[in-house]
Amino acid sequence: MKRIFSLIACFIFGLSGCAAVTQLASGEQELDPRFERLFNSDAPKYSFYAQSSGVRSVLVLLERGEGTSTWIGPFGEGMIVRDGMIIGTRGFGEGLIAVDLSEVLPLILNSQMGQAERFHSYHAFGTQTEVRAYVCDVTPMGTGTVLRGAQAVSARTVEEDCTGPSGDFINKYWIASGEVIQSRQWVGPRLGSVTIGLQEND
Amino acid sequence: MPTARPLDDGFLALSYGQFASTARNTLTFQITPRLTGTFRYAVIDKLDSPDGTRYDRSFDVSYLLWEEGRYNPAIAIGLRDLGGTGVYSSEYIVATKNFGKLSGTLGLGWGRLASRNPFSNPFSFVSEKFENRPSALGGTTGEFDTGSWFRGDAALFGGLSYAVSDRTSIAVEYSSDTYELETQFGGQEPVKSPFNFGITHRFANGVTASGYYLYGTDLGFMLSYQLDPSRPRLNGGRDPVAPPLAPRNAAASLSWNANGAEGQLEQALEQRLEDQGLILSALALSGQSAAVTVENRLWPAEAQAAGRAARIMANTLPPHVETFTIYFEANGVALSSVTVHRSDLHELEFALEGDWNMRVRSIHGDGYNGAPARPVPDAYPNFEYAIGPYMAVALFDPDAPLRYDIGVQALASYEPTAGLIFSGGLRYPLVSTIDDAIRRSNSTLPRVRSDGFEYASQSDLEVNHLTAEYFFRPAPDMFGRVTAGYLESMFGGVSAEVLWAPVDSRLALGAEINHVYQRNYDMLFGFQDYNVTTGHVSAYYDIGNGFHGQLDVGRYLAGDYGGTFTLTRQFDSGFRLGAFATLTNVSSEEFGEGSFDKGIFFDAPVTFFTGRATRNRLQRVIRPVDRDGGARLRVRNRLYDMTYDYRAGELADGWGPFFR
Repeated sequence: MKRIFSLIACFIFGLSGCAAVTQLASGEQELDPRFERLFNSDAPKYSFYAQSSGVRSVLVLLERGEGTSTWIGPFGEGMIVRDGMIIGTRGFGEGLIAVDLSEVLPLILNSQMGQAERFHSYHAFGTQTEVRAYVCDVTPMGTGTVLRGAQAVSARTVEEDCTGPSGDFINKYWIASGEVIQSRQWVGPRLGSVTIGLQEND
Repeated sequence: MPTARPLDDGFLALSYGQFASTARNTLTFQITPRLTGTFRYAVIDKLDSPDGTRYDRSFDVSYLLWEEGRYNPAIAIGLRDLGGTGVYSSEYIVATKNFGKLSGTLGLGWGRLASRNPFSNPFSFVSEKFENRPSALGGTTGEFDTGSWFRGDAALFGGLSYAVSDRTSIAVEYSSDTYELETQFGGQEPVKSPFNFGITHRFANGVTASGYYLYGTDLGFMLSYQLDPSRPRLNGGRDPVAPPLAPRNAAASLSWNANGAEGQLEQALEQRLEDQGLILSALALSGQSAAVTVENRLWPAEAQAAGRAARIMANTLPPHVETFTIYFEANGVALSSVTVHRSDLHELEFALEGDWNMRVRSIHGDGYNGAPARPVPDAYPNFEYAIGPYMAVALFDPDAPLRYDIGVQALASYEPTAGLIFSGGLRYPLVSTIDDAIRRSNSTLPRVRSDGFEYASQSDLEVNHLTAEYFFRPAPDMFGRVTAGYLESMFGGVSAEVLWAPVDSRLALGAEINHVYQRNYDMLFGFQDYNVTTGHVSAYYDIGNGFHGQLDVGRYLAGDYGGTFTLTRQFDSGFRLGAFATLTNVSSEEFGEGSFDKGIFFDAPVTFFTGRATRNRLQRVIRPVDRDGGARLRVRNRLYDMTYDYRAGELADGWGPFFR
């Protein structure tokens, strides 16, 4: 089917049509030079696993801003993190512009039971953005073990069970020394939940 | 069989169907929630003679009169083949109602849709004129045959469809069309039964396939695909993450800021902008303000370009600089400006409604004056060239639906100073079926366009354009252009244009005057005797809800006077679809086939399909025929197109991508 589409596009639009469809069909992507440079440095890294697509990857710290940090993947994908919580993604085909965590964050970091709201804003169709609200129950789940490199680290676990008009999801966090070292967080309907873990530098 | 069910608003549907001697391609666009337009390209064997093939183009429209309610059906009225050659000429009024999984349609048809069991026209109570239908095939093609609409006998048609599952449905219909034209030379067997049976399945990838048993004689199939132009394929985009803001005080320790080396700063800024597809041509720093002039070569949305430029400025310029103004330029003139505050960038970069807040806190300017005066050292002179393959396509030649050229092209431009551009384009076709065309123009007008085949067949190396252009801003809100040389493939001369287009204005006005000579068929440097002064005054208006209207009034290439009306629907995704018609003082007999110039076009950003940033667009104008009446000069870089994306109305519409 794709071949037929590309042939049609070539003949209707000429070469720009061919090029667009070829790129689309092959799904080919270029390595981002910023990732290449940082991957071979001692910059901090996250392991990244997207459950729905099965994609495993590594994200490298690109820049620390004021309270936020931006991490970059091999093809220029970006993940924005505040206190170990995902507050944005770019280039994953899922445009999570920003997340307002001001209510849930203290509960999670303090492993405190309670209910709070969180707000996500997404790229809406075209050039608009769309805000979605969720109500979340935060529940401490006791202590578990997380593997960091070859080392087993004891961590408190916290679950965040969120419900909203546009969908439900459950996030899980592993916290050690006041820092989220591993988590499974829901990003959006396309990317689904991703598991990220801070990697130990060798 | 028509139904009263429109597509979803703004949807575009493509279909290909085949049965017996007919292959039909259609492009349907839901122009408004109630108005539907269809372009049909049919290839019918043995229609006019036992061994001829007809390539037939036609337009349909239908209008939903009444939406379906709990008890009442949806009712629509439609016209088929209203401006074409009359093969499908027919009209209908139709009602469709859903009963759970079952859907029923009943309609009254005229023309071709009244060829089985016709009865006298119910409208003849209104006027006797409705009793007889003038023959559409005998009239001049291309005119809107209003004289025959809803005339002559009428007949009933109807059908039922049943949804077997969410994706599959079966249907039976009673057709009032007997395919008289198709069967007369044996292209199709005579219709044995009015009943048709079909099954339709919609696949998960959006393609719908249907199979039919038709008229008791033939099997047929159809494939169709629906596209929502308002929804890009990858909504979130696949663009590499923008350079995030570093803490503001970190900028102080950058080497060029620490030792005050402005040359170094300029170089760093230039490099960082270039990495983001933005070409820096000038920079000015004064106190707490900084201004840059950039050309956006990558981002389809100007707000996205502004957002990237602003973040790079924040990561590069000394921390005391608070106000950033970004001037966008094209062809050496400033098109508009965006002013933002550095502290807002830091506050809103990852804020929930950052884009919207940024829009409120920033200023969109006209860009007239104020742009940094001193260019960066290597901005001018600027020489660029490109050599690569090209493919040109000619659709709908009466003898072959598709003709094409494949070859090598070279483009070069030299810009000694801002706004002055010498450029040229050469093509050398390697494979061409365009010059195989055998039809020669029969036009009685000066052959300003209909000699296109002569140009294709008598040329080898083509000089497509070779011009000197000068772009300038004569006053606030105004743009000017003067072009001289070989303006396009068929004409050379001089062209001058002014445009008044205030920022945030729904209205823009323009005027253009040209004196041109027709070029020789070899597409080299010589001219023929024909020359003409041609020009237009134009009004462009943003009607709202995504609709844009354009009216051009003036003198066309063949010396005819008249006007062109263009209506475009533009989606936030950047997708544009539109139609135009030109009426001039050339009579429909003089004009020839088609009666007057008209067509449809679509124009989609490549990024709509790939999710990757690029300014490339897929554009296609579909004209039933290219004749000499109502033909305009195809001069490059008309000002409205050049400024359109950048004037603040557009920038404000598309502010969402600022922090992408």
